[in-house]
Amino acid sequence: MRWSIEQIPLRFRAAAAGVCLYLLWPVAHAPQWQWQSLWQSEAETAAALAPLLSFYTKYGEQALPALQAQLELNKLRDLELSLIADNAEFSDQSRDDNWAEATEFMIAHVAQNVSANELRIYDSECRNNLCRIELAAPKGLDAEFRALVLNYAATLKAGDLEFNDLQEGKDRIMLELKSDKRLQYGFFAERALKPAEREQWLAEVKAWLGTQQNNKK
Amino acid sequence: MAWHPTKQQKVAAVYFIAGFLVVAAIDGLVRLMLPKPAVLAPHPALSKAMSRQDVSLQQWNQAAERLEEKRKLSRL
Repeated sequence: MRWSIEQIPLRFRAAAAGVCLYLLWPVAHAPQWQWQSLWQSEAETAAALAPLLSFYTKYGEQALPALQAQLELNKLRDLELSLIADNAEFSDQSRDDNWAEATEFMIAHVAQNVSANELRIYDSECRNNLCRIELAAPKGLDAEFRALVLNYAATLKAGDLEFNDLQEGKDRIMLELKSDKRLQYGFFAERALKPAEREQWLAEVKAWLGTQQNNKK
Repeated sequence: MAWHPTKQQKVAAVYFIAGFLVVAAIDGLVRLMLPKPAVLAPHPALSKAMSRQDVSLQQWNQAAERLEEKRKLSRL
């Protein structure tokens, strides 16, 4: 006999839905800092709170909206840092088509023109801010070839591609280059990084800084 | 014709609300039972603001330090 959710009485399903609704409510959990007090002694908690309390004692209640706003901005920054860490490796990255196509074109162009066709590219691929170039090196990484590669890398550096890694293969080398461009994320990550409230948080911090400056005058 | 809930639907609605309220009560109790740092007691406004954010003490301190840095920079 096949199991169906309708075998659970409706009243229990309704109760479970009510429980789920509460648990999915964003404010439904005791804050993390309160849980911390469970494993920290009173003295440890007081020490951990000292910078915040000294800030609050100095600026009072009028700093609270700016403090909350800064906290939200810090959360966004932490999220961006974790996304940057997730995209640290070439294999982890997705492709930013516009940048990747333009950069692959530049890589091929530089190889042809700067090194006077002495460098042979087997393959080049750019993703989000990393590019991998496979260069033919039949004699290995000898002094002459090294000078050629260094000259090539220096020219690419002028085009915003910094040297990141070099791996030597049997008859080829793999050159990895990194750009300091902003990483392009997926739709949901971009939306999480730029919520509608972001401008409001920035304005609150700015307003508080303005008030502080006026108080000094 | 106006819609009238059946008795079964009314019972389900009561269970839905009861499920929500029971977990809310448990959550409220957990919040009450969790210790609050004694140093926060003289600062109810700060304590109230802190209870709205599910972050660690370290993140609160970082926010305060960042604001202090911004204030110093804005004065330059």
